[in-house]
Amino acid sequence: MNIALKHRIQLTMQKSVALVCFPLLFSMVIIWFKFFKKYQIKDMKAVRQQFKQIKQNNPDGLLVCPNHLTFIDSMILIWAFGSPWSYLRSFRTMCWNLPKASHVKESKLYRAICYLGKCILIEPDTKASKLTMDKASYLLNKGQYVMVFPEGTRSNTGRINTENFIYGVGKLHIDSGLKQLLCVYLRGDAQQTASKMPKQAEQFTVTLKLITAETEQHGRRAMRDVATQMIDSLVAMEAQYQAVQ
Amino acid sequence: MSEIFEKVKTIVSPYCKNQEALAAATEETSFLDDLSVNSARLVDIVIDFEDEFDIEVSDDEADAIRTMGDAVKVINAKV
Repeated sequence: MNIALKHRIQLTMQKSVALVCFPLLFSMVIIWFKFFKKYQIKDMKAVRQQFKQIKQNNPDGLLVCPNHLTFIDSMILIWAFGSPWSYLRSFRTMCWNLPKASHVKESKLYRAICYLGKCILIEPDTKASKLTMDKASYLLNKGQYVMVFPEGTRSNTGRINTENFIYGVGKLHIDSGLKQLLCVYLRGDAQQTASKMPKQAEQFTVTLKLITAETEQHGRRAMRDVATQMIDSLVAMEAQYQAVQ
Repeated sequence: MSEIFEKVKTIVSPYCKNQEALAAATEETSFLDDLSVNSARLVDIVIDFEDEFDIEVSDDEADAIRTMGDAVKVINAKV
């Protein structure tokens, strides 16, 4: 996937500014999570070890597809996946995110945090949202990690949404030309349904599963097929989580 | 209303959250605003159009489908 020079420059600039600000921003987020919100990730060492192995075995870009229950899922996962040092050594593995512009544009502070947190916004306009997906595809081709929620929005039932998930994420995977993608199941012990924020002192379970998503279909059917494989994988991960609880 | 319009109504029905609006649908009826179809399901609807009418709809054509009338126009041009 190729995008205009202007957009390539914009992404490079954003990545550079984000890298410069990363130590401060990441430290602030961790302090907020650990000392104010008292969040904990269960077996974080094991999660980071698994993510490290995935990185080592996949020198290319990686599409990361988690379930979606709160507004800060992506921040929690970035915290879970690696230490600040691991990201500074390999900044491409700090995931780009694709939040909805409507969630971010209401505040200049949110916009600034999103810019520094490697977010590219999904606009409601079809043409603009296509450009965002093209940018994401370009980033994957360039070896960057990109996080997209296949459900499209937070699940109101608290379970993986198997009815209204988006197919664009399937197209993104197909366009990236990558064989594997990483499905991630994140859930706080007290999380029943979707919410803006997890509860105070929440304890999170994070499970990772690298899957090979291939299809013999073409066009829209291929998009749907791949997106369905992602959702099926998340459903299986959720069932495993429920079985353990 | 044309035969194609009625077929479009039948295809859209499983995805439509506002069945009353579908029953009273005209060519101006919007899939998203009036029929409350989830935007992600528009892809399924276009795939169903392709299967039902044995046609291929390009991405640009699919993006332009906003109303029942848009759908009928695209299908009419291909059957």
